[in-house]
Amino acid sequence: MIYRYQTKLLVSIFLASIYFFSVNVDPIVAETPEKKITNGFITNIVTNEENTTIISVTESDGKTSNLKINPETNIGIESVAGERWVSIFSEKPQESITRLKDQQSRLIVLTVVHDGESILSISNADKRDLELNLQYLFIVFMITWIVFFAYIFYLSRRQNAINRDIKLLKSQPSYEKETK
Amino acid sequence: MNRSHFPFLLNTLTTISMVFAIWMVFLWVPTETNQGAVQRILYIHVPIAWGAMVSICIVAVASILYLHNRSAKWDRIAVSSAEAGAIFGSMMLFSGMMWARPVWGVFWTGEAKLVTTLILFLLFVAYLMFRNYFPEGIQQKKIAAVIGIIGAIDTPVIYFAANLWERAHPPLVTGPASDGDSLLSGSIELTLFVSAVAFSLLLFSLINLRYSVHKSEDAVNLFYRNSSIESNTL
Repeated sequence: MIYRYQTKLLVSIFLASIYFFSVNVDPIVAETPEKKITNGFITNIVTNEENTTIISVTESDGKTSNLKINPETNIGIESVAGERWVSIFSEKPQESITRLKDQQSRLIVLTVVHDGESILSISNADKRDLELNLQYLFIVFMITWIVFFAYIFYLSRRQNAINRDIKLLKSQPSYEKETK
Repeated sequence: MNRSHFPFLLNTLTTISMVFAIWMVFLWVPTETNQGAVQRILYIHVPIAWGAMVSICIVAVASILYLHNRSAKWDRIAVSSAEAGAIFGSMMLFSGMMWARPVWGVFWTGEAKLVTTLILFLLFVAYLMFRNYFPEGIQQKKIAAVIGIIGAIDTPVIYFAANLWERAHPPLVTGPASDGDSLLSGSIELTLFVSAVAFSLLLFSLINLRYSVHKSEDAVNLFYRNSSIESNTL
């Protein structure tokens, strides 16, 4: 009996909390003040006297950002043959610049993640429609929770049935004698 | 703490941590830039996989203790853990396949990590099938305990499979066995940790609930068995 009320109470708290959070919290965005995302093509690459490489990224609205490449900058770009090349700038600085210049000459749109000054990562813009993948996320969470709730429901029913049996047995005079 | 309060406290803690984990997964942690929204499956897939591996370890430890002192308590813990492990195992495979399809382009590859995981799930199924179809008694419990102990050997193989035979499945990126520092960003790692705690608590709640059902059923079965013996002897 207690189990039945506990299960109902906990399920209610669970559902109410999800509703509360879903209506009271601002939606999240991938971008944060420390991590800005710029999509555009490279218009210029220069290496200054301090051996710092600066690239200019121009967005579709014409806005250009001059951003510094750090030794830790992650680079993931595709060659003209469609092969993906992944590296950290400090590992292969010369090849990185050559490949970025190739992207510039082909006017490839790149996704640049930066903090306003330095680039954290630079990669080919994702061509896939990421929203389409939401169905997989939805299916995983829905099926998982259905299975877990079904199992809890099954166990609760089994517990209630056995509790009824025990109650019935306890009302019989022979029960105390048998269980002693 | 009163022992009768333990299930309620455990269930309440599970509910609160699960709600908090879901809030973090859907509303707090930022969307990963390469995979997009589907990457959020990480926060359910990894904790469930962790739960399945913890389950088989509990089955093995409880089985060893059962073989050592023949206490019905350890046998019940082993069965309860195997049942919860089968649920976690099936969900681990399902969530993995649903994640692999948009990211790798296929639901399944024949690589070591995936095959050893499937073996773990089949071990849970074999354990439960054996418990259900083999005639009840000491022999059944002893053989089941041996199956449980052998099954646990699969756990370290699964854990290190991606590092040993690197293919599509990524190697360990966090935890004590990963190479060097964690490759996950702070918010992703924290969300994964909270989700792992929530699913671990869920696993213990399920084992506890199944254990109490098992214990009650054993008490009723014992009563009926004693009653039938008594009526036969009369």
